[in-house]
Amino acid sequence: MITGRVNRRYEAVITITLTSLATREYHHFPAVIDTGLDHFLTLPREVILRLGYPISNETRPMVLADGQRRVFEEAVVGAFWDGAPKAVPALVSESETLVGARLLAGYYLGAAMLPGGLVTLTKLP
Amino acid sequence: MTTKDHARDAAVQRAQDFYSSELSQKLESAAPGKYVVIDGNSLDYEVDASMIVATVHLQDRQPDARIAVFKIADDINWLTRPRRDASRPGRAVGEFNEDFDERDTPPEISRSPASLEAENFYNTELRAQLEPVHTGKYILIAGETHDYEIDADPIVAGVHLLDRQPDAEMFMFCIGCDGGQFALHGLPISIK
Repeated sequence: MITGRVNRRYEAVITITLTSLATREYHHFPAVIDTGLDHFLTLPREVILRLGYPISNETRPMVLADGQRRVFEEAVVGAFWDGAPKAVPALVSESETLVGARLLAGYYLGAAMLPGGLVTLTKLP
Repeated sequence: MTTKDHARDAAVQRAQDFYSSELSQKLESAAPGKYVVIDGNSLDYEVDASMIVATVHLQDRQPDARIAVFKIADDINWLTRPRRDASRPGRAVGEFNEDFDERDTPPEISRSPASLEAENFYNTELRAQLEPVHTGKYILIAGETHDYEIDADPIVAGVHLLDRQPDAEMFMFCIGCDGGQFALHGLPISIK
């Protein structure tokens, strides 16, 4: 089980563990759970580069129905997730570390929505 | 605004008009909740439950696509909602440095038998022929079948492999990299 806490913004926050590409050291980062994010992770560019991962040359420009335009870069990073290492696709952000719905797939998400409340991610059978 | 920006805006506008006039009504009943990705130049499009998969497939056919994405029949689009980036000042580099100061030595993790079998298949069947020409690219190998896909972008390789093996567990290797030093060596990866 993965646990975290609700912060004062009423965001469910867990700690994600990422692996440095070269040294394989693990680094821990607070990450906000965002069930509206249809992706695995967003990570700040600074974090991805400091961990030594290449950012894909394939940028994917995306424009939405309201005309808002976003250009995404992607990377694949090593993570230690629920007791096991795995490779995880990540969108490059400027400052946000978010855990998206696709990384949560197969888990039961529980959150006591008060500052300091317990957040739990339990793997479903 | 540059000429390039004008061209991009015109393509995006075409995609929006095309979605509104030709696609929205048809897709809202056929594929609610899925994503439609439209090339504003050719008006070619792809529909999939995964935005990643739809985008890669469209870019396979239209490498220079000007892509517009719509979530079908969903008023609450994850990208149109106010993002935290817009309401919260970005973190200073110093804060990331604090995060990086917190580090652990990795524990010894035993890899799954399927991952070790995939690596053995790579070493015995593929390494000699691939390393001379594909060094630096990624290879994703499906467990059990050992079907594989190579690309400079591991996400693209994963989408293409899943086209043929929709339920495959995929393991990731870097061609020509030292497995002992490459943190992603043999790790399982999910794309969808």
